Amino acid sequence: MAKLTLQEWLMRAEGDRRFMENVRAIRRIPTRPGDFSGYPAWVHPSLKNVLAARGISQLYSHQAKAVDLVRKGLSVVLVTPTASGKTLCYNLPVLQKILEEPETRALYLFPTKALAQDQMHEVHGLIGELKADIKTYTYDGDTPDDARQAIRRQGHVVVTNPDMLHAGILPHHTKWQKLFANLQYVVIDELHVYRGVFGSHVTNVLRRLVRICRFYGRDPVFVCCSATVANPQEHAERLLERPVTLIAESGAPTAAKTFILYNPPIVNRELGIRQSALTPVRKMAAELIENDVQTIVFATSRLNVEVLTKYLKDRFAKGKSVDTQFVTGYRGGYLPNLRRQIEAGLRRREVMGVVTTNALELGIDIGDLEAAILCGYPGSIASTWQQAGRAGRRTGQSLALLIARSSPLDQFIVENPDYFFSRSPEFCRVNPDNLLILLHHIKSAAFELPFEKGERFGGENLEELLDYLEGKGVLHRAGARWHWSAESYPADEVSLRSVNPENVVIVDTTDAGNHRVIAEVDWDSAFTAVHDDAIYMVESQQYHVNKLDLERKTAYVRKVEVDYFTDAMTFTNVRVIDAFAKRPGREIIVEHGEVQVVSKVVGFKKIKFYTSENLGYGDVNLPEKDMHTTSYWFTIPRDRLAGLSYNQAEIIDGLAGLAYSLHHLAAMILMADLHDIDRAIGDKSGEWFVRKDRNWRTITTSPSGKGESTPATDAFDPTIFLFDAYPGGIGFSDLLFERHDVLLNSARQLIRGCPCQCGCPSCVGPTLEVGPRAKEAALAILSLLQE
Amino acid sequence: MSVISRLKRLTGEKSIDGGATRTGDGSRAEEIRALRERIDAVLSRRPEGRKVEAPPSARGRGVPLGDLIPGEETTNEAGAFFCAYRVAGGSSRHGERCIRDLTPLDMGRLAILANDPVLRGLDYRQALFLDTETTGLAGGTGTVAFLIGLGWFEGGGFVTRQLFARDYAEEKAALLGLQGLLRGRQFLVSFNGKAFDANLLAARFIMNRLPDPLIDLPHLDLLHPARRLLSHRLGDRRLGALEAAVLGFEREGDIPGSEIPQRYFDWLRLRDGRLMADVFEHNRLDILSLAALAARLAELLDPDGENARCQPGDRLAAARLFLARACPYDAVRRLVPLIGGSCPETAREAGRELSLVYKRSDQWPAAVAIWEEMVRRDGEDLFALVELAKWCEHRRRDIAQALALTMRACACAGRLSPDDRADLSRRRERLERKLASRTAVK
Repeated sequence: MAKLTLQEWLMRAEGDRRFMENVRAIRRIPTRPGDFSGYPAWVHPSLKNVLAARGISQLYSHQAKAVDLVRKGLSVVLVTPTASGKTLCYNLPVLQKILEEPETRALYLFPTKALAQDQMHEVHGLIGELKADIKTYTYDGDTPDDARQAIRRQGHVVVTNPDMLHAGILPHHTKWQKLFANLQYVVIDELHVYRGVFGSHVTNVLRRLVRICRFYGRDPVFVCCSATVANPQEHAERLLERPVTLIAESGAPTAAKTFILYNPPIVNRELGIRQSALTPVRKMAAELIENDVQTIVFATSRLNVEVLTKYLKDRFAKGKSVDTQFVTGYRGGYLPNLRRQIEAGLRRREVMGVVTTNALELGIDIGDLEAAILCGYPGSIASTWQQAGRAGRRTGQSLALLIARSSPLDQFIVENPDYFFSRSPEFCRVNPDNLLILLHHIKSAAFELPFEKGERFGGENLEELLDYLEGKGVLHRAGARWHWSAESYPADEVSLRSVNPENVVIVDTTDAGNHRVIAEVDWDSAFTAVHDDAIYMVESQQYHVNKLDLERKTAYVRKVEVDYFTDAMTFTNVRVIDAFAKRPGREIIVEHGEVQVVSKVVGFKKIKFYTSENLGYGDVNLPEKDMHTTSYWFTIPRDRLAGLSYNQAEIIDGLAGLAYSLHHLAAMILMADLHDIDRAIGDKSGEWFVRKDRNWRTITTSPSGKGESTPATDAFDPTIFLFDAYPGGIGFSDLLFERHDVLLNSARQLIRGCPCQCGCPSCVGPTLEVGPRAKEAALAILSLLQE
Repeated sequence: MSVISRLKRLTGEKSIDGGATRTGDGSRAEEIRALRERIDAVLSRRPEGRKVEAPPSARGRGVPLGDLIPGEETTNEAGAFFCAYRVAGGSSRHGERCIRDLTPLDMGRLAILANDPVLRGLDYRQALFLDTETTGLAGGTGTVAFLIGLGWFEGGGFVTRQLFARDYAEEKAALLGLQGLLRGRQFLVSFNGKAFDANLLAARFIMNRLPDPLIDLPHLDLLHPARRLLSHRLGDRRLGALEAAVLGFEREGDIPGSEIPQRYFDWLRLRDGRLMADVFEHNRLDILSLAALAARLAELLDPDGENARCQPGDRLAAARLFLARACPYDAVRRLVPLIGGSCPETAREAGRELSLVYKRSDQWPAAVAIWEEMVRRDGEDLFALVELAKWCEHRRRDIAQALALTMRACACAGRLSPDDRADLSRRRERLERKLASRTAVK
């Protein structure tokens, strides 16, 4: 059969009624000409020649503006689309300066090792063509020991990641004297990635960087790039703690792209169950790959990557020989070598289909793919555009296809295309003064350089914290200085990316004589991913967890082949400690503040592959986790609820449904993972809360109590909490508090617009879980709230 | 609410608002008392501690440093530090040797050990022996060398100076003190000092905005030559193990190195000299051992190996060191007597090394003689068979003989690793091809 081009495939699809029934929007992003500007006069002729030889005979307007500002010593943040030549905005002024003053040094920070490698190749290429004696190196965990010394001394441009800066460079700054004493530029790409917990850590790493620079008498210029978010400048200024100029107008031309939002059909209207997104993804990916359209599939979880890879591999294994790389998976857990191999395979078009997580979302060079299929909304509009941008970065015609899952977020996005295609509503938030995070970095900073009396670091009272650390015996005060005074290496005590630096290793015991470590998960994920009897997947291989040993931080697993995966169930109890602010209102109390959260994993569901059928339940016995954090909440007086025509159980179901949709929408506004915030229903006293077991929902008093349900509306002022799932909070709740009305409006839009009869995973949660009248009750409660 | 109360709430530490300060102080005093008791217990268990007569009223007030360690406060423009001063007389012993028997050190041999010919032109009295005690082994700018131990030969004896920062604030003065003591010193001797001590001090000089005076000095780090010369004798190559095995020096009641950082942290809080006395002694002995080890390693390079304390294995190791330093003449001089020696294993290894020297210098008859002798002694000597085969193939052009030798090597089934087997079969195939083509031409 003749192969179709992408264009032909699209024409056929658009003529297919059954396909079009599910399409919610087709946008054709037209070709747009560029807005150009000449090179500034100061650009070195040989640099200009090298760029001209690459076809860059003039600059885009935003590039010209950026290089000019950077040249003047101003810090900038660029917010322009993928493939708009952002890298030139920093490479040009940096290389220029090195040509003028060969001692000049620059530090490039990328969020991942892979991106750093990639950027290195690009700079390396430029330098090679310049034929100048400029050295650029990546410095990360993979850098061999014998190369490190040369990098420290000779690297003009050192490309690394924040984790390495935190644990490998700053604590050894004396070895990097040459770099720091001549550091003129710090480049931070993918700035929007540094938000939430990671961003709060990175802000502190930058505080430490600036502090070390000051020791060596430098004050570098920062050049940042970010995906489109609602508050790029504010975010950059919070992260850098200095004024930053925003450049948001792109002068780059745009290639034509067809963007399709696709909502899989409803298969059960009563339950509001849609076809799994995996089904159309699988089908369309297979079709495109079959037609030699090189395709990248983004899945939202490690699990889905493995599941989809398995499907596609099975599919093509039939026709093809055992060429395993024709379609392949790609994600963070794969070994670096394998990843490099896959990237090269993509560039050479030997790999025609790749299924990945957001690991390939950012600027890793994998050549020009033609189609990007997004299996589920990636969680943010910024990510969606970046993932879509992986197809057709330079080619003429490309396709981006977003296939919605039944989650409220996905549904909201595909059912409100205008929301998606218009201005970004997403905010980046950091809370660098979260005390736990701040304290970690004060320790690391003291290790790097003793603190002087009167010095500032973060927004809290530094001297008090230093005295506290002295009391803990890790600092020693000598005169007006606090010195690190312990044997340990504090940077190793904290990981920038996870809440708890402690990991749980996963040991395969299938072969009794040869136990081997197959993976690691962070401490908090361990409770839900590798509890006893969980099914854990690596590379499409299933493992059954025999035992999670928290003391040894090890999960013992063995290989199995079963037709289901597991999904953990947790419950949560919240108590208000302190309200920071309250909205003026008559009856509905809207507040944010500090809370105590107790949570526990109580069991898990077994879910069948392909059908998502629930096969049963299991119990889990793990200790409770107790955490102080910040929360946003609102309380509805019980007598107002009593006026509604629903019984107690239905009202609780309605509240649960409302909380479900608010949780998802809050995650959307914050570009947060659903797990970064959490929800609970209780009353402010913490005395009562709603817990859910298997299939029923009850009001109980004690977190560990079982079955002692006391339906006592008269003692219970229902409160919905949305809280930061990180001790000390990460700055989400005050933003949610500010945007209370937007949240409620969006929830109403979502629930009202949902075509299901009485609740589904896309609005208030699956009917079986929330109860038959949850949807209408949730809407009634919303009306109360918005009166 | 104060930062600390908020923090304690997050971490789950107990604290009561308002009363926090009082309880804080109370627990601090309690903690110090507990620390003192622990220290008293530790010190009384150690012989070093027992030597010092702790005054009965010592609890609560420490013993001044100067009462336990000979030395004095020294000042310079950066401030004050404590400098301990000791001389080990020429007749005092360190292990098997008297100090005076360690010298003179043969600078030619030290140059070989250091792999730095510059040392040849220097005098052993210009050596500065260096060992530091630090607040940790992790490295990084948060690790401080609080005690810089130095030593040199002077007037028939061995002088040690130990520069002690009694507090972090004294570090700069101690570093300046080190700078001062470097006058007249031309090279460093250390054990693992290249990777550790000198490296750490380089960081400390930068942190204190001082130029690093050590960076350009030639540096004899004994760790690497000691490994080369002594690894056949010892599994454990730390300085302590070397002392016992090759210097005949046993320490008594020595503080384990791993306890040293904590001692210093305790000292910072309590200022009790007894905490540091062990550390000073430990460091002083390390420096003396450095000097003794340098002498001993130089002795192992004795050209004729006449020294009774050299075992054949030592001489083989010495020869190998000379080979590594590209001094084949010195190596040959040590290898020749070993071939006929009583220890068969050493004799074989020496033969092997010697034959390779001959081979590299085109002295084929001498090399072949050794290989043939090796095969005579052991018909399955893989190395000798392969070398002979190569010689036959490439020098004598006797392909048939080369193939015969290769087949013989292939038959040493039990001794072949998979790599050996692969090499041999490649060789065999090549030889067979050559042989076939020659026969064809004929």
